[in-house]
Amino acid sequence: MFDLPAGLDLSMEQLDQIDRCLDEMLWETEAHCILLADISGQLISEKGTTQGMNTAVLSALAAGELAATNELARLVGEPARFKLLLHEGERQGVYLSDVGEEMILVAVFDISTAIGMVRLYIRKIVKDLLAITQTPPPPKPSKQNHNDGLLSTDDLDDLLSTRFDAFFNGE
Amino acid sequence: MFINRRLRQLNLKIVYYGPAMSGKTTNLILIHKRANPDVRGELVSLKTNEDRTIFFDYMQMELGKIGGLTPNFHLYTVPGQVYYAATRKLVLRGADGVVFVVDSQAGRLKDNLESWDNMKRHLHELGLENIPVVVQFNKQDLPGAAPVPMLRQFIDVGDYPLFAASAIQGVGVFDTLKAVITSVLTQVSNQVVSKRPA
Repeated sequence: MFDLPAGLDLSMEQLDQIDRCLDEMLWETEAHCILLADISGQLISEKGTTQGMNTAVLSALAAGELAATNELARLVGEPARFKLLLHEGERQGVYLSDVGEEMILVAVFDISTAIGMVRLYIRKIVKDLLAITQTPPPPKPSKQNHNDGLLSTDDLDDLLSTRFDAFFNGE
Repeated sequence: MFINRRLRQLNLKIVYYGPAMSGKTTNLILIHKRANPDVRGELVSLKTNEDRTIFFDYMQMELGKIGGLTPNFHLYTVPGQVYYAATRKLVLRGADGVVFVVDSQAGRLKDNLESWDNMKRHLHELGLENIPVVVQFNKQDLPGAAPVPMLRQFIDVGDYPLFAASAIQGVGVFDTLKAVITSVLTQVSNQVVSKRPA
């Protein structure tokens, strides 16, 4: 297991719970898709129809947009942050929401979906997701190889001295 | 940094920072152009009509497995203009490493210094003062470029790794990238080791 001191590090159990949460919301709201990412835009989980959609880029843009919105709130003297952001298109709507301090939620809906219902579900799922991620993971078994998969010096050397150049041999 | 245990993926964020027109986007364009299509994602640029970065450029790349992990690098640039300071700080959030791109032209010294101080202050405010920084002295090919030793006298780069570069000619871009990847991965490994029980 990986055991790093900084950043978001969710256990498999937490990831399963998050998936169940997103599935439930997808089912209840008939959203096209729902993404959960960390505040720097790195994708944690995605549910729904995302074929043909670059979800890595989508979550990076959403994180940037929410961060900008929070800065806007500060500049206009809003004591709380703007927690929810809605984009309305002709066929689809996109909701962005903070999930605590460390995560963001992106939900893509058909424009015919009732906005009030979506907002209600987003509030609920944010609470549920915070409950999941703020619960400390169970203690890890004290196996000798609990850091299985760790980045070793040899692995690093292999990547950087042997394989790195091969990744960049394009035109 | 976000660890996706299910995909055994280590997500790391690297930000290219520096004054306006120093060549941050040029670095990313070249990396994207030369990267094998199967390791790179789309290059997204949020820019003005004049081709200036207004928010950020972004691409991701996955450089194969290291041990049991697949590091997935997310590369960002920041907008360089002075009045986008707030945006630069937003893009720095959650960064695991920074490349500071210096414009080596003698007339840009003040802009470099201002951007450098700006970066140091933002890193401090975000609690990121200990993440790896690599410095690239770009535009060394231009006739008005100051040599690296001279620039070092003015910009307090300390012990950070330094690279002379001409991003537009492809010189120094991959040495810089390799250095920041090495520093970030080494820092991650050290954190793990220091956390291991004695």
